[in-house]
Amino acid sequence: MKRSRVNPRVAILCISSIISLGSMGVGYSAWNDRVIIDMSITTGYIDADIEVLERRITLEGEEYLDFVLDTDGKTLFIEGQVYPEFNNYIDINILDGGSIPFAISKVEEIKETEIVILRNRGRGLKSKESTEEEILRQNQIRESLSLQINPSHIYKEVNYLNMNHRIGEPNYAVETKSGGVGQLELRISELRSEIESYKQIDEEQEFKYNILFEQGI
Amino acid sequence: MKSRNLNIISYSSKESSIVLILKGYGGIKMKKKMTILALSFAATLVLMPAGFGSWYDNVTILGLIRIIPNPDIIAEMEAELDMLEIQMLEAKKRIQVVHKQDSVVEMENYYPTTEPISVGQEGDEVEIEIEEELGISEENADAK
Repeated sequence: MKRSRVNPRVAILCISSIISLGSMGVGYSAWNDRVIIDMSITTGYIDADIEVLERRITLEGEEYLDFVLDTDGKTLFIEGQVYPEFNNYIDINILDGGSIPFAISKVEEIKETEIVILRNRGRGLKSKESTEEEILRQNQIRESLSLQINPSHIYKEVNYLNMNHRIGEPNYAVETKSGGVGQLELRISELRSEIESYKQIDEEQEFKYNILFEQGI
Repeated sequence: MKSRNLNIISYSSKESSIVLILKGYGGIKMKKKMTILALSFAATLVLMPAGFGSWYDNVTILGLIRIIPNPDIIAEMEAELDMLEIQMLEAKKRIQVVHKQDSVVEMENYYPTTEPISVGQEGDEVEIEIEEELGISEENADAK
């Protein structure tokens, strides 16, 4: 009988090592667990769109203002004609059409004019009695702007525009003294020149604002 | 290092300095690496502004407004002018009356009357003519 070359003791040691390592692996696997985090990140974008509540404002006489919004909602063109004593506010909303909240970072006045002032009114107040649809629309509004158009103050030579009086309520007290006549004569000549200046008013004022938005709350 | 430096010097002067450096330091492999680096840098320069662009937005408000005179205001101003002119005429008339009365008083002082002026009999109706051109009003005539 041929005798085995493997020492039975070594064989037992190897087999017991295999069994112990295997069982240890099973044991360790019971003490471990894993969770899978499956995440996808996409970059957001900012999309600011202009909203005007009215497309045309028809005022008294020949006064009117047209608001033409570009198809992409990025450019608002205001065109119209007004009287020198016109003083009105136009509300412009900036809607959020993107995935990142934004705020105004810069307002550039590319073409300046004295008759227009652009103000930021913030996000505006939400009415408690608003309907669900209105609330959704209000939530879309990121910024509310107010455009004041007031040409009267550039016509300083026409004092009449800055006086709070009406016909039948003369500004200058009429006195029977000779000084009163002088005052009246002065006022009459002033008023004549004011009428002439006022009749000659016919000019176009151009303005351009570029409003930049970036991420912000 | 010495051999590399010698390598650079040995190239002809027609080749650009960048090519010389590439060939000198690392040979063809280095050239490939540098090309990939340059291309990736160029790609970054193209992609980065596009990425940043989506985090910014801008809107434009343009306006062209014509200012014209208001006919109602012109009418108001002209009405006030007319009113002021009327008031001035009235004031001038009043001043003329005051001057006239002053001159009458002066004349009376200069030529004092001793006898009272009698006009007709007692109970007769007397017609007083108001001298408009002198600016004497009815009140003043009555006072006389």
